Amino acid sequence: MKKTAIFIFFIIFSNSFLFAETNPHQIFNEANAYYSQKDYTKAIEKYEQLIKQGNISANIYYNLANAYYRNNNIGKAILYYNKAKRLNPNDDDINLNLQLAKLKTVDRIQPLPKFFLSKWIEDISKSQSPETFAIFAIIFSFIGFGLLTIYIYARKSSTKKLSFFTGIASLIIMIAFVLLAFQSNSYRTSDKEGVIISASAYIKSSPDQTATDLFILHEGTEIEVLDKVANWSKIRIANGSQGWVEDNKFEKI
Amino acid sequence: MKHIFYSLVFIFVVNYAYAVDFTATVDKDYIEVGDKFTVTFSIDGDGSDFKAPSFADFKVLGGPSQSQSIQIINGKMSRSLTFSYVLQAVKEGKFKIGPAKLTSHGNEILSNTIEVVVAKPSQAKLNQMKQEKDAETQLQKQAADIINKNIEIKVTTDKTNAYIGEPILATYKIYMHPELAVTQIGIKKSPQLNGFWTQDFDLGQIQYKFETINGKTYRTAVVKKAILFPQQSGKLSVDSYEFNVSVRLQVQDQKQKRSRDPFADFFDNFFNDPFFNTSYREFQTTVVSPSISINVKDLPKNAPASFTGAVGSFSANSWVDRNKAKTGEAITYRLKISGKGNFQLIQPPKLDLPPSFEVYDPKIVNNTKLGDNNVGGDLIFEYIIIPQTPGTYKIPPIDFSYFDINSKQYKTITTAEQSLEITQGTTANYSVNGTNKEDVKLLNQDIQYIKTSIGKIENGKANFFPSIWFYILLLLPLFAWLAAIYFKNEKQQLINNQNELRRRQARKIAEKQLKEAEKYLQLHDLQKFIEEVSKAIWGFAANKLSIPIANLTRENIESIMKNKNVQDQLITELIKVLDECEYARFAPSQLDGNLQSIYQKAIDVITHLEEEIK
Repeated sequence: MKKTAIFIFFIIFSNSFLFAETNPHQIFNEANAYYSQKDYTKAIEKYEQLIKQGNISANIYYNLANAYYRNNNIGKAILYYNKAKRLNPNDDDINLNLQLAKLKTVDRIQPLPKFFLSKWIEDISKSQSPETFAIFAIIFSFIGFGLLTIYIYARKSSTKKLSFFTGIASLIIMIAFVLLAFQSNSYRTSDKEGVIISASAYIKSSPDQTATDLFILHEGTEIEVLDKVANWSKIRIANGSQGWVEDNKFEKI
Repeated sequence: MKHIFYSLVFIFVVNYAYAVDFTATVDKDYIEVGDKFTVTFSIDGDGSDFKAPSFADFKVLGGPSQSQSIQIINGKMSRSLTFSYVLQAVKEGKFKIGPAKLTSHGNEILSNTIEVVVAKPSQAKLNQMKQEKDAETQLQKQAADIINKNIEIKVTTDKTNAYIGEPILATYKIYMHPELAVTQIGIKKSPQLNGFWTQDFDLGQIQYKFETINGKTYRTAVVKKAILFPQQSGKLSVDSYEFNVSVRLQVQDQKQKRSRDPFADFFDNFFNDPFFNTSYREFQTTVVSPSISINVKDLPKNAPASFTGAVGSFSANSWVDRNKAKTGEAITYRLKISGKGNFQLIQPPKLDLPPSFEVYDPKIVNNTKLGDNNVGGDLIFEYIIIPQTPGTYKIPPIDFSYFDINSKQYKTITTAEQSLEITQGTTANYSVNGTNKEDVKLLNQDIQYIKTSIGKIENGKANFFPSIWFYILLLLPLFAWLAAIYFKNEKQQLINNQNELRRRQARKIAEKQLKEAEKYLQLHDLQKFIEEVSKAIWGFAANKLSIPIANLTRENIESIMKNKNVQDQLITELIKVLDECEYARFAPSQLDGNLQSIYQKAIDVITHLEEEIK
């Protein structure tokens, strides 16, 4: 009898518990309330709970990053700002806060000079989501083929000429947008980018605890993951330096 | 009136001041070159700040000696002050001495100037001077001979073959006759020691000893002891040191010695008894040490990278004063090198720390001192390091290499690695050392506030971009366009087919119409006949050449036919038939007999054209 009572109580309790837990909006608001009360640790807990439940949004990542930033955990802040930026690349708040967080990192890395065109393409493709580029590609596809249809049916040679060239130009623009969409998507789905979250991390010459220390990185530094052996990853930083680091020192974006 | 009074008083005071007697006197009237004389400046009364005149023309043997005397005559006290100099005349001529200056009662007063005439010395005097000089030179020479015969400096080194950096102990020892009264020994001149770094022992007071060598007793003393560290290879030599040696020797009185009188000799001998008339004089001479040469060998070639030139036997260890610190707190890292050897060549190694540490130049604590035959002790390098950012760091081990003089091998000591646990200090001072213009602009900005709406929740649903719908929408216009091309082609095909049909049926239609015309010919309906014939020809041309009826002109037919390579003759024939038909329409009466020929011509043209245009 007693057992049943406890069991029932447990069920009721857990139900109500589950009900509270599963409403993402409620948890989000609770977390925001903790944040506004400057209880950042609690806020972080709540945001992470949301993410664990599979609720992923740019805003949750952004708020979580803000809470980490306020808690002086710059590594995690940069990690989550980057995650937010992937979902919403052209949000001004995300971009500004990411920039501010990067100012607080220790490592000042001089990036390798890139060919201006590839740098340009990278900047553009990172600035918008792939969907934006995809929609532009579709619009230009319609414009281009529309103009080419006019070219076929036109009788006047001037109309024919004009519609032909503008049509071809539109199709070239369309192809450019498709490529940008692919590029942007590759950034979004890339599993190669990471952020150092440990306060400091020695980068070794080989995946081995006893290997030579090549250089040291600090939390918040963005890295590119190239290879993996056991619990070691080969990484590269913006200035082109490479080395091996233990997996627990960084997290992938 | 008042002014004049003050002026009078002033003149009186000045006159009174000059009244103080300040005189210069010379004690001899006749002075020869080489004579000594005294110049005296005396003042009655008080005076201070005496300034002597220049005695540039004389040799000053003594002075100034000052004396003061107070006299009381008839109950009246007078005081006088004198300054005197002993001078020697060195050249003949007339010279002026003075005036001397003195301050008395606040006024500067001058003495009188004396004129001194120095006469040429007499022959007797010259001889005497020369003799004295010769005797002195001889005496000095004799003394130097005696000293050098009885004093010797020997150098001993503990080795004559050494490696670069290996210490060599050099000892300079003086050996002398036990009765030689040496009063002072000092280094007069040290050689330039090229190729050596030396460290001298502080000998303090010179310790004299008695030593017996080969049955002879010597008084000995170590006068110099040094450790030499050779710094280059080859045959190196340590050049001679020059020592100043003062010796006290017994000298006979010169005046008695000079006399050649036999009686005087007797007395001389009597008075030369050491208990009586001997005197002692100090003589100074230079004793030179021999030079030594040392063979210096190069160190073996296989030196480790961290070798900077230390030779000897060493040990090294390092430690930090604490392993845990907060950012901004100083940590002291010490590297201690102890042992024996050429410490002066040990350079502080560079600490290889991450840039988030501020490292100050090391403070060097030198606890080394001269040992028996080497420099020993320890050298401590103290590095102050200030961590700037939290984290776990290590101070990497430091390699210290030296050439071990005992085993004649290079040895490397690796100090222990130190780990540092840095936590965030109270002040969050992130070093912002790489800020550019853009960064500076942002420095004072704070992050934007959180978002209040949860936003679009991505629940693993596929994105639009790489989806099939994207490709469908992207390629839809392409298919539409292809369809448009297809339809246009179909339509063209249809027109082409119609033309083909027309072309094939052209003759049939023309023949049909010509047959109709024939009927009218038989009925003698000329108008109708001509109409049908021309219709047949025009229609045939239109059908055969796929010309729309609207574009049917003589010029069109002509140009298209030319394009199709139809014989010119045929074209003109066709045009002729058409012209004739036209002509017949307007003047039918004139054509009566020709009607049959028009008909025939039309049939011919059509037949020929049918053959010509396939």
